Amino acid sequence: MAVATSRPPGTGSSRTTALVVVIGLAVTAALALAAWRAHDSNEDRLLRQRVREGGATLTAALPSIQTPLASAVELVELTDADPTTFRRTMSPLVGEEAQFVSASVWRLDGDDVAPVVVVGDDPALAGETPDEIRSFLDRSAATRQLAVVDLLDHDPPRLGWSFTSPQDQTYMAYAEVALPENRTAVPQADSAFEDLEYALYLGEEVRDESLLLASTSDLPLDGRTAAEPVAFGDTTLTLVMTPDGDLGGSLMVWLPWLVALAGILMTGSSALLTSRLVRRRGEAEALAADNSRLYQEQHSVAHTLQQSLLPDRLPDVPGMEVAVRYEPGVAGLEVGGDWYDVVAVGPDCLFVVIGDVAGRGVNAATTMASLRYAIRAFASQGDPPEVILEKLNAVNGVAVDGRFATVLCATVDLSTGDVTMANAGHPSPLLLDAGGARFLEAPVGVPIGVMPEARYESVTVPVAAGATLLAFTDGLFERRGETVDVGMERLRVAAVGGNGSLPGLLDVVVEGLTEEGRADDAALLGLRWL
Amino acid sequence: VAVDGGFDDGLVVDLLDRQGDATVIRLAGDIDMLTSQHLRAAVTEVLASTSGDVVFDMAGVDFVDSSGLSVLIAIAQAGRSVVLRSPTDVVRRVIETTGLTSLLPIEP
Repeated sequence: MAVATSRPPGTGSSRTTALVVVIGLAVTAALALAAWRAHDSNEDRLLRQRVREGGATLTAALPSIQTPLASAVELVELTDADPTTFRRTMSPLVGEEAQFVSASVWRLDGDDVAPVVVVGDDPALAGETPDEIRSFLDRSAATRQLAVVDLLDHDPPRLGWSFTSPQDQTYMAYAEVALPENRTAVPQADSAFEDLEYALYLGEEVRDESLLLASTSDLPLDGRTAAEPVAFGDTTLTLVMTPDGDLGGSLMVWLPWLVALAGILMTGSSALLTSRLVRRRGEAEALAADNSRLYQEQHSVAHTLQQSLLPDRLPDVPGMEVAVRYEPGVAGLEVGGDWYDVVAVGPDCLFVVIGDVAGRGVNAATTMASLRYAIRAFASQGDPPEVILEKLNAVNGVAVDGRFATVLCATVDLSTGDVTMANAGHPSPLLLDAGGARFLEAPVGVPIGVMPEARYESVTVPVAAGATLLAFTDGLFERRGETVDVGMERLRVAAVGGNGSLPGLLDVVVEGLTEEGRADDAALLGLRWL
Repeated sequence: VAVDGGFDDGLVVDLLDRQGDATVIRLAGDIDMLTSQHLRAAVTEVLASTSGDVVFDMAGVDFVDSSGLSVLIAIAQAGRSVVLRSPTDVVRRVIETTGLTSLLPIEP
């Protein structure tokens, strides 16, 4: 017999697995990209925030520059540039370790473009051309606040700024700061900006020449940068920052990679699982297909065997129409013991039998075959139905181990239409005629094979033209949980509802009674008097 | 005494007290193709150690098919007088329509 075969390691399996891998990797890539972009925009946002904070810090520092000069210029105006007063005021702020390297007082309107009082180093401004000095003095006078002068080309580079009084306009207080060597100043370790590289430029442009301070000599800052303009007197400083690492912390940095790694791992395991599932499903489907095929084969073998034991064709009988249905049950694979036979035993006599051997399988089938051929023989001899039943009890192989058969035998007198029947434990046939549908009751004897000396009685019923007799086995109507009377009434109702041709009637009855599936085999034989 | 014969199919076969000459066996459940072998084995075991009439208390039997009838018929054919006591309508009508009331008489 056929056995379950497994499909070759399947193309279906690998295709589905590949699909899972592709989808998984695509989803992973998308997630990783999204995580990376989230990280990216987060870093951008954090950096912009930090550089704004840096600009605010610078802005907050401006008063510390302005206030000494503003105070100084008021004193200068009040004292008409008294050198002693100016020195006393500015000395603490000027020197090696102090805020300024040079502080001085300049007349705004004089012809002489030179400082009138100097504290600390000589101002680098004094080294500029007179025109440049005059230009700055004018600008400083016009600004009436902090004016900034670019002395970055000086060696060492310096930045100078001046302050003029908002009221009196005779002098300007001026101070210079020296930029650190290489213009590099690393933020202190505990500074709020220790995790950032910065570069501070004079003016709005980022140019090497205008660099004031930076935390690194590796300029210009590249990668992720943000710039913030900071108002500084009459000019602008530009603060540029770049993160020295990642501002959002290591989790944010690793997030895209974690997502990618997890995604790849999940994709791998999904692919593995899918591959297994597909393979198992393939095996299960193959097994189910094999089982189904085996079932169909066995079922059809049983059905074929059954059919081979039933008449190939029914005789053509003048004045009678004969039709049969045989419905294999769904529950059993083994051949059932239902059978029927129609034999013309003379010009005016039709012999009809329907029977049901208890049990299933080969034993039932052989018993059925024995009974069938015995009945044919007895019928051909002209034995009446009740005699045939009595003789059947002597047939070998029936009365063994409780095996039995229910048999309904009948002869039809074709000249009169009378039907004579005897019953060995079989369901009564149903007669449909102008009067309706009723069961033809004959005295029910014991089934064949039960009692060797059993006796049977026959009854004769006249049947009019147009009437139909239905004989059947109990598989047609039997259902668990109800008495046979309920099932037979259901059959009767179904038959009443069937009009038209005899085959049509049989179809209606079979279909009407098999709504919920039928476990047992069922045979249905119809005779119609024409 | 429950006689399950090693089966676990819902069919109950109980050997009750002997009543006079009769061995009373209570049956419960469905007797069909699936359980008739159980019934046959259990009843054969019981009857091997008894003699006389056999009474089947059928009140708990909801269904009996031809394979179940075969078991009961075989007992009767073996010479034991079989009585079916208190069968349900379903079982009673099966016995009646099958023409087995002479072999398997029914008592209320």
